[in-house]
Amino acid sequence: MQKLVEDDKVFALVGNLGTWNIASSQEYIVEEGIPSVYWGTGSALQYYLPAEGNQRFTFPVQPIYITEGRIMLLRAMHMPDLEGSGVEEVKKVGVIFSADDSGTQIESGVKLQFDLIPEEKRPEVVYVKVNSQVADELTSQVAQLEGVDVVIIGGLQAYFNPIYTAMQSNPATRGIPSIVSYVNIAPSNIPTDLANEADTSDIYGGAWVVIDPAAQTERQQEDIAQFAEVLRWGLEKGYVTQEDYNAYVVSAYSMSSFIALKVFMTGINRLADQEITRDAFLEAMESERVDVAISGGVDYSDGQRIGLDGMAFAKYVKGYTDPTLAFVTVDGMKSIGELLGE
Amino acid sequence: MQNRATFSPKSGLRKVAGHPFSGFILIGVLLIALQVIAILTNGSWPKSSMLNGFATVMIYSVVGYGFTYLLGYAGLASLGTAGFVGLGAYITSFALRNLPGVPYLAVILFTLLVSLVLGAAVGFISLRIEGIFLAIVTLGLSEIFYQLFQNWLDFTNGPNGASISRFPIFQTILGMSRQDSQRAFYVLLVVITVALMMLTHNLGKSSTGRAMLAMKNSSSAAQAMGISLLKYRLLAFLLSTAYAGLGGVLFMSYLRYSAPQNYTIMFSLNILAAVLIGGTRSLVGTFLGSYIVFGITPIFLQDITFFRENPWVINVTIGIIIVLIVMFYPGGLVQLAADTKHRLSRLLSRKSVLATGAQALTMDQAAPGTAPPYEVQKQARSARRQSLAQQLAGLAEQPAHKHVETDAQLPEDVCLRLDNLSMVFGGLKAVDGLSFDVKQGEIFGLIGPNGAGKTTVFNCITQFYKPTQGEIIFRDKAGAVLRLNRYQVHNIISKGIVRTFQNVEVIHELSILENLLVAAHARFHSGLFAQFFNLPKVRREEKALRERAMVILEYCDLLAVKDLPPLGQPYGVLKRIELARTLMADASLIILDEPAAGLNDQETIELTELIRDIQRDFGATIFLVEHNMGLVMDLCDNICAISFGKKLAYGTPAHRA
Repeated sequence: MQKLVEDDKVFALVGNLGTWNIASSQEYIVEEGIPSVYWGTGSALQYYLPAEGNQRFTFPVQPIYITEGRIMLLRAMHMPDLEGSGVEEVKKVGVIFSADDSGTQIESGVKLQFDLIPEEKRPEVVYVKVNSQVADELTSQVAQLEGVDVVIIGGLQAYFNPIYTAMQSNPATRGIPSIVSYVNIAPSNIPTDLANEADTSDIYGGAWVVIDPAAQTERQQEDIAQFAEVLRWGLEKGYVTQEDYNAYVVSAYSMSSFIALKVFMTGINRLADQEITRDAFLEAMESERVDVAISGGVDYSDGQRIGLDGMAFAKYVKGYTDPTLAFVTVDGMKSIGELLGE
Repeated sequence: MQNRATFSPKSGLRKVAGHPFSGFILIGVLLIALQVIAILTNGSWPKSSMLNGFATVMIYSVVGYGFTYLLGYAGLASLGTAGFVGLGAYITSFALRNLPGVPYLAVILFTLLVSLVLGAAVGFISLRIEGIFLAIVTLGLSEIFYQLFQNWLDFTNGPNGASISRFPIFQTILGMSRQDSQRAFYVLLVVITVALMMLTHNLGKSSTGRAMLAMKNSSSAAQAMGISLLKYRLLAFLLSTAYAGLGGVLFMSYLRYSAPQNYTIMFSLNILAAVLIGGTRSLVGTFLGSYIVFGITPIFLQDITFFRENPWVINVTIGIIIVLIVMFYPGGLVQLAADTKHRLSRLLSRKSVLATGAQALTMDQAAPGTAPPYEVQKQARSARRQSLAQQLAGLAEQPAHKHVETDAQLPEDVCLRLDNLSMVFGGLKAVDGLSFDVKQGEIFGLIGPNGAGKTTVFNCITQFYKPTQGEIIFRDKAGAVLRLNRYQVHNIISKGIVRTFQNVEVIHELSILENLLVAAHARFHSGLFAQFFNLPKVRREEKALRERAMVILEYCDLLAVKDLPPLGQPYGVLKRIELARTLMADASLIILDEPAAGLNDQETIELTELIRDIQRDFGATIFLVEHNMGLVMDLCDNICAISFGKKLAYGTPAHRA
C-alpha cells in the first residue's frame, strides 16, 4: 500500500479486496487522505457515521456484516412467508458463526436486531461459535442446532462449507434451511454435490448484486450487459479463458470490481472539465447519490459512509445447469426498514 | 607526521576489516546510506517500499539474533517464536493506544519482562524434553498465542488486527511529521540492529556462549566442566524470547499494524529458515538470511514483472535455497563464504593450510634422519613441561569457587574415599558395596573386565549418577573434606574434581583453545550484563585465562593446532585436548576414563609420559580406569580390581602382579 501511495503516487485506490488487507492499511490511507473507493470488506473497518476529516475520502459500497446480521435475522423470521421454504413457523433460530471478524460481526448484528424486536415477537435464538474449518471437527457444535427452524451461518467461505457439510451429516440438522452470508452467494462457493441432494438444507442468502435475470430491472440488465461486454472483451484479448468467463459472468465478486470502477468513474465524470483533485473528487462524490443499478445506490452526503443497507434474497437452485441460474431471487431488494414493515 | 616505519594504510585497513564488529558496522552504514540517498533524491531511489523492506529485514533479523542463542548455541529447536513476537507487538499497541501517558521505554521494558516470564516457563519445559518433542511443545504454545490473538478482542482487536496511529517518540513526543518520523525510526532501527549484533556477538564469544555450545555438543562434557544445563537452557530461552518480544515492539512501532495472521507457524518457520540460511551462529548470516526470506520480495523482486505476476516462484526459489543450503552447507551462507575464501586462498598460495596444521600434530617432530633418540626427546620435553608448569604457577590465579566448610572426616593422606558405595539400576547392581581410598598425589588405577562397573564408579563420584547407597568423601585443594553426594554434577568441577570420558567428549564447534576455556568456565565470574558489553572485567578474565590456556596447550603439545576445531583431528590429539582441559580446571583429582582407548602404541607411550609429567608438575591425584594393563602397571601407584561391582583386590602393581 505504501508502495502505491509513496512510490507510485496514485490518485486513488479502487477495489482493494480482503478484510485483512484493509485492516492493515485503512488507518494509513485515511492519514494520507487517499480516496479509497469500494474496498471489498464486509467488516466495519470502513464504516463511519459521520465521517470526519480524511475519513471522508473513504467510499464504501459493500454491505457490512453487522448490517447483514440484522437482515439475516429478519429474513429468518420471514421464512414462513416465502413460498416453498417449507418453514411453517419460526420459534427457534440457530446462529452458527465463525470466531473470526466476519462471524462475530454477523453475530453482533443478529443480537442487535434481536434487541430491537418487540419481546412478544422474538424467536428463541441459539448461538454456536466455531473455530475449526474442518467439517469432522464440528459435529458437537452442529448438534447444538437440533430443533431449530432456520439456521443462520455466519462466516466466510472457509467456514460456510464445513459448517454446511457437518449439518448435513447429522440427521437432526440435515435439511434445516440455512441462510448464509452474501459472500457465499456464488456457485463456486457452494458444495454442489451435497447441496444438490434432495433432502439437504436449502441455501438462502443476501444478494446485494442481483444476478438472477428474472429479478433484474431494466437498468440492472443494462449494467449486467455492460459488465458482460467488458468480460467478453477480456475473453477476446485473451485476458480471461472461456472457463473463467463462465464463472465470472455470474460472480458477485467479479461484478464488484466493475461496480467499484463505476462508482469511481461516477465521481470523475461529475468533475467534467474541472481539474481532477482529491478535494474536487470528494465534493463530487458527496454532491448527490451515486446510483449503480446493479447493486442499488450509495449516498455519501453528510459524511455517510455505511455502504449498502439493503439486499435482495436469493436461493440456491439444486442441480442447476446454467450458472446464471444457480441462484434465483426469491424476494427483491429490501432495506431493514422495509423488512420491519416500516 | 606519521611514522612511515610503523604506519601502513594497508595493514590498518586489514586490522579494521578483521575486527569482529566491522561487518556489523558496514551493514549499518549501508542501511543509513540508503536513507540518506533517499532524502537527497527526494524519494526517487531508493523508494519508500525498498526502505520499508529493509526496515522489516532489520526487525526480523533482531528476532533471528535471539533465535541464534537457541538454535545456534544451545541446540534447541523452537517453533514458538511467532507467539512471542506477536505478544510484543500486541502489548505495544495496547499500551500506546490505551495508556498514552506510559513512556515508550516502559512499554519496551514491560514487554521484555512478560517475554522473560513466559520464556522461563518454556525453558523449564525444555529441561524435560528435547529435539522434535520440544519443537512440538513450542508449536503448541505458538498455537495458544495465535488463538489468544484471534479471540482476546479487548487486547488484540481480534482478526481485524491492532494498530497504532503514530510513530512512538518521534511523532508522539517530538511532534515530527509522519514521513520524518518514519525516517527517524528507520535510523533508530539501524542503531538497534547494529547494537544488538554487537551485544549478541559479545555474549556468543563469552563464557556464556561457550557454555551454551558445550551444552549443545555434549551435555555430559558440559556438566563435567561445571555448566548447569538448567541455567543455560533457561538463559537461551530467556534471551530468545526477549529478542522476539523486542522484535514485536519494533514491528508494531514501525509498521504500526499487526494481525494474528502475522503470527502463524509460517512466521516461526521463516525465522528458522532465515537463521539456517545465514548460518546458525552468524549474525551477518542471519541478517542475510532475513533479507532472503523476508526482504528480497519487497526490496527487489516485486519490481520485476515476472515475479510480480508469478509470486509463487519466489517461495519455490526460497524453498530450493533452503534445501540446498541444509544439504550442502549446513553452516549456511557464512560457511559457503568461508569455504569459497579458503579455496581461493589455497588456489592463490598453492599451499595446503591443512598440511601446516597436520605438521604440528605430532610431538616435536624433526626431519627424518636428524631426530635425536627418543629418550633424549623425552627428557627435553619433560624439562620443557616442568618449566611451563612453573610458568603456569606464576600466572594470576582465578579461583573457581568460594571456600566451603568441611562436612566430613578423612585421614590426612587420603584424597578420596568410597565408603560402601552401591549403584543399582532396576534389578542390576552395577556397583555393590565398594570401598577404597585414593591417596593424595598418587596415580590410582581401577581395573576390571567390561561391565565390572568402573565407569559407573566414575559417574557416581562426579555425580552423573546419584549413588543408591554409600558415601563418597573428598578432600579439596583447600583441605576441606566434602560429602560429594550433596552436590550436583555441574558443581563437582568447582570442588576440584575433573574427568575425561571413555568416548572422547570435545566441543567440535569450538576451537581447541576455546575447548580449554570451557573447562575454566567456573573461573569466569563476570555477570551477563558485563559479558553483553564486554566490560573491562570480562576482558581481564578472558585475557588471564587465555594466557593460562596457551601455556597448557604448549604443555600438552597442542599449541600449533589451538585455533583449529577438534573435528577431524587424530584420536591422540583429542585425548590430549581432554587432558589439557583437566589441567585448565586446576583440579586436585583428575579422573581419566580409559585414556589410552583407541590410541596406537606410540601415542600410548606419549600419553603415559604426559600423565606422569602432569602428576609430577601439578601434584594432582590421578584416578584412572584402563584396559591397557601395560599402562596401568607402568603408571599406577595403587590398583583396585573389581568385578560385578565388587572389590576383588587392592594393592600396588607389584603386589597385584
